[in-house]
Amino acid sequence: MKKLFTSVLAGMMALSMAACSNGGSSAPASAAPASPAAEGNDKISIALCVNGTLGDKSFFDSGNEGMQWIERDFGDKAETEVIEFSYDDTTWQSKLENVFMSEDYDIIIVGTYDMLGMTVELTEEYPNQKVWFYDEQWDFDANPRENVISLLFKQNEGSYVVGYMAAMASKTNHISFCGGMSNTVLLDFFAGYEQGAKAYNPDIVVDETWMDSFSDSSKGKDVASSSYSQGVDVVFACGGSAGLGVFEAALEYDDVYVIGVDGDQGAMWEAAGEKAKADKTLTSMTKNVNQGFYDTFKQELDGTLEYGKNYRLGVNGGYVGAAVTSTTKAALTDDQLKTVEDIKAKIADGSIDVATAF
Amino acid sequence: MGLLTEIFNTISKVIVLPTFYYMIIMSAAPILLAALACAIALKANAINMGTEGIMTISSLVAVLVSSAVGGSAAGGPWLGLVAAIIVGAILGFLVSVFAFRLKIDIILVGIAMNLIGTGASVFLMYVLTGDRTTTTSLSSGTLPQVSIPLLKSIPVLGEILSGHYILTYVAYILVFVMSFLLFKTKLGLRIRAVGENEDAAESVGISSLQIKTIALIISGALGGLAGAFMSECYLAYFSSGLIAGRGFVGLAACNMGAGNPGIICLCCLAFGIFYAFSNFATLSNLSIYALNALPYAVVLIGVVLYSIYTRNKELKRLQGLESEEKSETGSVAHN
Repeated sequence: MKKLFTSVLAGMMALSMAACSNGGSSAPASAAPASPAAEGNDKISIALCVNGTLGDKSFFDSGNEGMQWIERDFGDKAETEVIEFSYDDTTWQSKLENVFMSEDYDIIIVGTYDMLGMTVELTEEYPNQKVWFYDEQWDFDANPRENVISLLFKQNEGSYVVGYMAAMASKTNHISFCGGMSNTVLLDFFAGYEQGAKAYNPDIVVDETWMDSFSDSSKGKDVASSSYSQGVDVVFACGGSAGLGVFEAALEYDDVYVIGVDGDQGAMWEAAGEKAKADKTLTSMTKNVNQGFYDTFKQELDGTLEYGKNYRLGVNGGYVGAAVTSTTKAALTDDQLKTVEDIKAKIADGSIDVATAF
Repeated sequence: MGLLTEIFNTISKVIVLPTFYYMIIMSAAPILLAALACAIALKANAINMGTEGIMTISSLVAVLVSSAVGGSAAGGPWLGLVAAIIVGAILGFLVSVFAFRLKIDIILVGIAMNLIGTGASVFLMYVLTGDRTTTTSLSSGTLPQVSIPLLKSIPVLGEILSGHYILTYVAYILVFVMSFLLFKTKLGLRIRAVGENEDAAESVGISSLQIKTIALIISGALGGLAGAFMSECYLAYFSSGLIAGRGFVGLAACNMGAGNPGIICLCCLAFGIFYAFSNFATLSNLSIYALNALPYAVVLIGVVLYSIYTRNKELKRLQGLESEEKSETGSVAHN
């Protein structure tokens, strides 16, 4: 018995070592060199703090891509590092404090609703540390900061466009929104989505459903199944990896669509060889975090970036939009797609005023 | 009043939908498997707290093995299922090794198993696939859905009972298998004997260590089955939040049923009813937070009611003994 136990243990050790060595070689190149900005180094060093992990195939990965674009085009002027905080939210505060305390970075990029409170405190403690805060409203009246800019994506504008497209594609005149957790950003998605759908068809029914999770895909599948079985034929899946469950549900129903979020999820399924899911993806509301970071950095280089202010990145400039895939082209006519482009142009020039939850 | 009518309206809207009942049966199945896994261990007095962790690891193993073999076309899901059961059994065996040979408190071993489950599965997923949250990049496929010949053509009933994944049927069949195993076989008798009174069992020549180990291995294998259910039936991939407390709900259901497969099945179906209701009712104006807490609140209330019931029963039994003793002593005195 003892012998067996020893050999099992030894086997496990050998396995875990093999696993480690494998991990070393296949680690993604995105983990930029951890060398801190040394004294006298005049490169602008940027730290992107991800309060989760890369590999979500949308939001965080897009931010990471933005960092790679900056390194690619301005490698002589900037160096970037992506710091993953993991999904254990009890550690986020101390990890963020460490990043501030190290004073290794000229610019710290951090974002989302969960990180707002601690960032407000830390930016007061470190008034010379430049911070880009993204994806949540920063109240500059209550917390004036000369060292902070806030980058807000106008998800309501992108959602208006996909809502409009959902109404075009719906045959039952019944569509739904399937959100992660009810916070202001998510409600902003819904506000635009509902308005867009009603703009195309005032009689359409737009249901608001919540999964109450960003990670439990089975919940996403069940919530979406309940919608589809009650006659909904387009669901806007808006909740991180929990939203991926909506695609699973769509596979079990005929003539229904999913709208993806953050990244072009139709293209993502296509690339992963999941043709069936790609065929269900009507469009995706893209939030081009990569473009947002890249353009903001260009302004930083030009010296035109004004700190202490909210930047709102919308359809104008292509920061949010609606992806067009082969499924989109099959579901909508050319005329309809042209109308969608008109809608985008009208939002960009301000002739359509999109509702917001902020 | 407005709330009550809203609840009533929602219920009346939901209970006419066949998909509602389909979801009850579907969502109760993995919990049932987890609860049966806990049940056999509980009967042997070797509480397996680690079912959640075992489910997590084996659900990942199922996906990895299935995609390594070549996915649905090459029968991958079946091999994945077998691998998940084997890995589950090994983990169950490890629990017994740590608890009975190395003498660590079995509750602590279970907790450790749950923690390892979350950490190791994400680590393994990253090392082996490069993905960090889901394995959607692997095409691991699902086990087949079964449409039952005659039944499927019956209008409503067919929609509810036919077309489930094969493991759903296996889960409900296992309720009977488990009852048979526990109450009609020699092994079941020994497991219950060890669970009731270890010393008494030892005194008639049963090795309690051996019986408990066997019970935990079976428990682990069932946990593996539950894990494979999640990643090969419920969804077609593994993600880090996939199991979402189903192992713990199973543990609660097992305790409510006191390890009795039939009652456990009813508890799981009750959970399924409220879980499915919470999903369908998200279209209503009822609070989403209250709805999502509902199934878990029901489990909690169920456990409390059950423990009050058993306590009362125990009290009555003791009172009965007392009065019996009194009457006995009384009769003695009379004599």
